[in-house]
Amino acid sequence: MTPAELVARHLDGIATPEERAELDRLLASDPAVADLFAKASRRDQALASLHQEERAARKFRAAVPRRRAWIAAAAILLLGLLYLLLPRESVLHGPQVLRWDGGATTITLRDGAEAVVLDDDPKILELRAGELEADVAPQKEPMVLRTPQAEAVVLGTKFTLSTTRLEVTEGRVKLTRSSDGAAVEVAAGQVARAESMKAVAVEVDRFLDLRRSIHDPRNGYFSADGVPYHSVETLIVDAPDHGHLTTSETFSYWLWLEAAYGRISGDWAPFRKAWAKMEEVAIPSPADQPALEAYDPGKPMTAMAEKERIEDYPVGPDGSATGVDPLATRELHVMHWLIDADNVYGFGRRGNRSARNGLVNTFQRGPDESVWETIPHPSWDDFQQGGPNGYVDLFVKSEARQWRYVCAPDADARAIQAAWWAKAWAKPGTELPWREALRMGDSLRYALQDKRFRGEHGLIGWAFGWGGSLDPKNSWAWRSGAGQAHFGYQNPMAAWALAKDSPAWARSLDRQLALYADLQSPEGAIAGGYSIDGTTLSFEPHPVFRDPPSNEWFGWQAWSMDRLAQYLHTSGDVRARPIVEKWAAWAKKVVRLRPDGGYAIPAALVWSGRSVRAEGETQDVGVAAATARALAHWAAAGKDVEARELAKGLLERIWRLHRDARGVSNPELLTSYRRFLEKVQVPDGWRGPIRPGATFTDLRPWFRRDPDWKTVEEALRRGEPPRMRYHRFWAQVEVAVANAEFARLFSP
Amino acid sequence: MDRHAEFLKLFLANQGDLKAFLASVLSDRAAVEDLFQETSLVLWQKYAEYDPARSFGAWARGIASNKILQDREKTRRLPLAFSPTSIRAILEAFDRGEAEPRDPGPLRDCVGRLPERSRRLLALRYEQSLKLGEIARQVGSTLDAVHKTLSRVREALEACLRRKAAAE
Repeated sequence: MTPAELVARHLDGIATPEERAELDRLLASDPAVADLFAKASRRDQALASLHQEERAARKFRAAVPRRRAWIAAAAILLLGLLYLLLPRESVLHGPQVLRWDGGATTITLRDGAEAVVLDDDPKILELRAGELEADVAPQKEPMVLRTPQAEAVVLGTKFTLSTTRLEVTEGRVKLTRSSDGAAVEVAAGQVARAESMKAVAVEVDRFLDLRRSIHDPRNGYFSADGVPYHSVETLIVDAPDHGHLTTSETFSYWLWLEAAYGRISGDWAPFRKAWAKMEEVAIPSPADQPALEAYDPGKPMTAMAEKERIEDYPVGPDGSATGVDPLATRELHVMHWLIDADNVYGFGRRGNRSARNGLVNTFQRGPDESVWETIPHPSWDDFQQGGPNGYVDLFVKSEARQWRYVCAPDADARAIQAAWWAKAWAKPGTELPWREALRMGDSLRYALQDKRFRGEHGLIGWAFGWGGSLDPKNSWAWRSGAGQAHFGYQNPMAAWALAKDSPAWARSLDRQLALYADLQSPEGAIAGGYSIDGTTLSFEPHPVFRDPPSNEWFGWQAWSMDRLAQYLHTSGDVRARPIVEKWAAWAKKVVRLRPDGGYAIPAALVWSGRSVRAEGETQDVGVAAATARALAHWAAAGKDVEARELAKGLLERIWRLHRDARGVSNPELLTSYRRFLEKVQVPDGWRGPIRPGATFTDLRPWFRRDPDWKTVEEALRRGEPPRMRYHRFWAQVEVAVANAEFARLFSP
Repeated sequence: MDRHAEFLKLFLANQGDLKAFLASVLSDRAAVEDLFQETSLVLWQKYAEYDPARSFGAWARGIASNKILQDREKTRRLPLAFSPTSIRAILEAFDRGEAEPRDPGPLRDCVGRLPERSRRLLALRYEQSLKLGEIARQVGSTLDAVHKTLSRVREALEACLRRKAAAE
């Protein structure tokens, strides 16, 4: 028999007296055998410790009476100390799986979890930190799971428990709070937290959880002035070219968040606060738009030429005739689209160069101008900065000091839509800014006008502008309507909300419904939009911009069709039904819950005329949530169980795969980031501070100091697109509100 | 760090290894538990004498083996598995060798990869601490067969741990 075999038999307790004598002799004479013995003995003990962790508690209690009296007498204090550290206290650490009932009952401790099994029969387990998942077979005596804050009593069910939160998947669990004995029954699909002791739908819990993350100052969603940023991360180039700029879109999403919160909590103060902040920051005040008294509705503007190529700017007047502005409201009560919350550009506001929340702009030069080719400039162009003529002569042939703002009407329409829902959800008599929303709706009628006021087309146009002189000796002001319409901007819900008070919006509602019917592809998706001349519409597969093609993004489908589905469900207007039904049938084909637990949204839509093909896959959290919301509204209107399950699955998977410490985010490959070093077109002979050959990044030197610059630079050096994670404000809200809306529709 | 906390830290880190030593020289499990608790008390009482430059594990084993050898000379209450010479040899081997890593993760992983039948056998042996005779009765086998199977399972674990170590 080998020494190793002797050791093993001894440790297994089956060595005969002869074998033990032999081993004793070998140990005394051969250090190598002693080494082998020590090693095997240590491994044996490690296996015993590993296995006994769960059972240690009971064993210790059984051992107490056997302990000799003199020990206790000798050092009672020390025993108190040791009591805390002896095996009874052997804390189990996740990740690991505990099994009972022949494997029928399992408790999975997640990574970071700490638990102690206090008893096996009945089963009592204490969760001290982290989270566990339980699948409990029917029990004779209830199983008890304790946390420092509460106790869950279980007879047979599936659920997830953390120290503060219980989520039940199957069956029912009774949760009792330790501090005051408050109790709540939690049913399948519900969540309860120790702090509130209310059982709510899991989607409502996700909404509240994500809203807490958004408002947690450590996460950085808001500026010191309480203005929501476009994204937490600063190095980002979307339509805004910096994360700490903000947009009218961001404000409108904030309003959505607080409207949903008001419905769930009954607290409308956050909604009022968001509306007030939007008015303060994003809507140009009377001081931001001087010289309005000089505005002549009979001659609203001097029409400027519109060129295709960036090189053809600055442009001059094209001499074409303009119509009469039939609206002639005084100050415009709509948002300017782009705001420099942290004063990154240093333009300031109204000539005060150190002021934050300045109104700024980028896009000015036709459909080919991508964000990478834009030149940032102040909307208040008083010639303190830029060249001798400020920035104005980069874009138009003019030497006049002036201000000019641009409204992106989909954001204002979204704000109105949120205000309408707030009014619908709040108790009668609640103080809400609905009159302010109506005022915004009045101003937003400029979006329904032809760019040069040659008719009312009634669609929500892409953009309209207004401006005026900053020279007191030469006062003038101008306004424009909107010359292009993208289906993605249409908002029949907002039009319907305003229609009772406004014939123009009642007409717009009909025009929008006609647009969807006309642009719906044979597959079900909605094709681009129109360029507009007076009231004549010409189909455009990619209206407004072509770099990238404007109807490539699946998000437009989700955004716009959610509004139409919401309108169908809320108003019951049968005209919307076949359009939404056909769209949903297509969406169910191109949006997939993957067998591996993931999901896939089309990365791009490729159009040929009005026919579409979905290409590639993305997990973009914002677009996926918007899709879930659109499907949920359709599912509620059309009783479509398949659409509801797809929406539910998307929301579950977004949460499981992409919830992180700050909110929700998915990794993105930014192929467009190779353009960081691309040159920006500056007109020949322009006398300003931008040197010839300047790149996108030269114009924005702060990017080279950004903490994320290294990631971008290194990826570009390797010739790869950088992989980034972003927490865009709108996407956070989209996920939160999609969950809140799902719960409103399906678990009221 | 105060003295209590310092002691607790060292003690927690070494308690498993101390038990391994005691279990290898005593032939009865209850005796191992009793001596472990007695030794723990002495360690605390004498902690002022502990020289931080030395290994705490070796110090603890030294105190435990003194108790064992004293007992051998005086009351002979303890069921010793081996002669004093062999116990000293084992003590030296423990001092020479390396304690099991504090993180049981790799071992847990390797156990997790075993077939269900092997894991059941390990549970009977190490979780329920059954004697091999009782295990043989429960699984309807013989003492030797259970021992052979257990040995193969432990070998498989060793191989798995070696692979893990090599992969790092």
